[in-house]
Amino acid sequence: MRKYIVNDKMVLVDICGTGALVATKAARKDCPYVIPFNDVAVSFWKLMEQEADFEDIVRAVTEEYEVDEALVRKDLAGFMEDLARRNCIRFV
Amino acid sequence: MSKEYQIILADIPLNIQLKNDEISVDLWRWLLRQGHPMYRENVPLQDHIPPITDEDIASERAYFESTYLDNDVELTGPALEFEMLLNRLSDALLKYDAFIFHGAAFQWRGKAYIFTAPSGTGKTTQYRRWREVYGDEIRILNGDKPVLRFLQEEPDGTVRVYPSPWHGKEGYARGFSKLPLGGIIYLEQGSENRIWKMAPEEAGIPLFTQLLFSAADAPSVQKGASLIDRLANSVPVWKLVNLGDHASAKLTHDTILTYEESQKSDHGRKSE
Repeated sequence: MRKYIVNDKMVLVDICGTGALVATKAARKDCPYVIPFNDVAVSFWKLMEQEADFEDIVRAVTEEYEVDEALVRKDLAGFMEDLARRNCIRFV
Repeated sequence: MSKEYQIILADIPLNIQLKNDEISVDLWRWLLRQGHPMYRENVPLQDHIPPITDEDIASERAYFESTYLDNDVELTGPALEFEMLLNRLSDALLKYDAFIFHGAAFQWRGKAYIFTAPSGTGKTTQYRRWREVYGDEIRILNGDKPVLRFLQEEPDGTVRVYPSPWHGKEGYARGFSKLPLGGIIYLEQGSENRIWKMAPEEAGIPLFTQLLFSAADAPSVQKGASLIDRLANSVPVWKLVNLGDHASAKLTHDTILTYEESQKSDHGRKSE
């Protein structure tokens, strides 16, 4: 999987127990204002902010949620593609 | 040449430099209506809000032109500065646990209620339907952007509603002193009328999108999120999917009334 850089103008917040990725003013022109995240997406994003590599994220989330690794790998790939389309991360 | 002004919102004095005298005249009139003076010079300094620069206005103009290309939006310098002032002041209010919220606030049975939704969803229509059915039982407070504030000296769960000089294209506004917020009605257009009380986890993100601020940086976004979290956990938030007709107004009115009465009964039983 390709390396990526997280857009540091996006902020993860918790609102009433629900995760959301919010674009600060500097990111508003290029990114959606608010993207709701489920729990798995929150876990993905927190690890991505720490610049974890793809396989490390797959391993950590597979352990955290006790789910099939292949499913996590597929979900993470889709999640990253979606975030890249929305300019929240950039592949390098 | 910018001049320094003091603007009082939600009982909080805020100092800002303004470039356009036309704005100061509008604000001065509004503040007078609220019973607040607006000092032009030598004001006691509390918060210095970053002044709006020519670059800021040019950037705002470019944003408006790209976003509202087909709309009849006034793009004069004073109009743009007035709109930018909203974000500047709302940002400054955050540290006082106050913020400007997008919605039509009205008074009903001694409390303030707010219709909120993205622009064009029918906030004003819903208010008009209530007026047509219930007449003077309700009255408008601010048609577009009231200020909400949590006061330290009040118990948790109390939210106060205050006027603001931004009250929408219809110009609906009147002077009022801080009123307790009774509830928020989040509107969505639909093919039938349905209403339900949203759980905080359902209401949080929709309410956050109606918080008006610049989201300048991570700390201000975190603060905004925490205030909306508090708001959703303090007052009932209703979701109204509706046709914009009289029946939707009656459904909302009766649902909230039944809820308020049941809360009073519960409170009475607990007090016994």
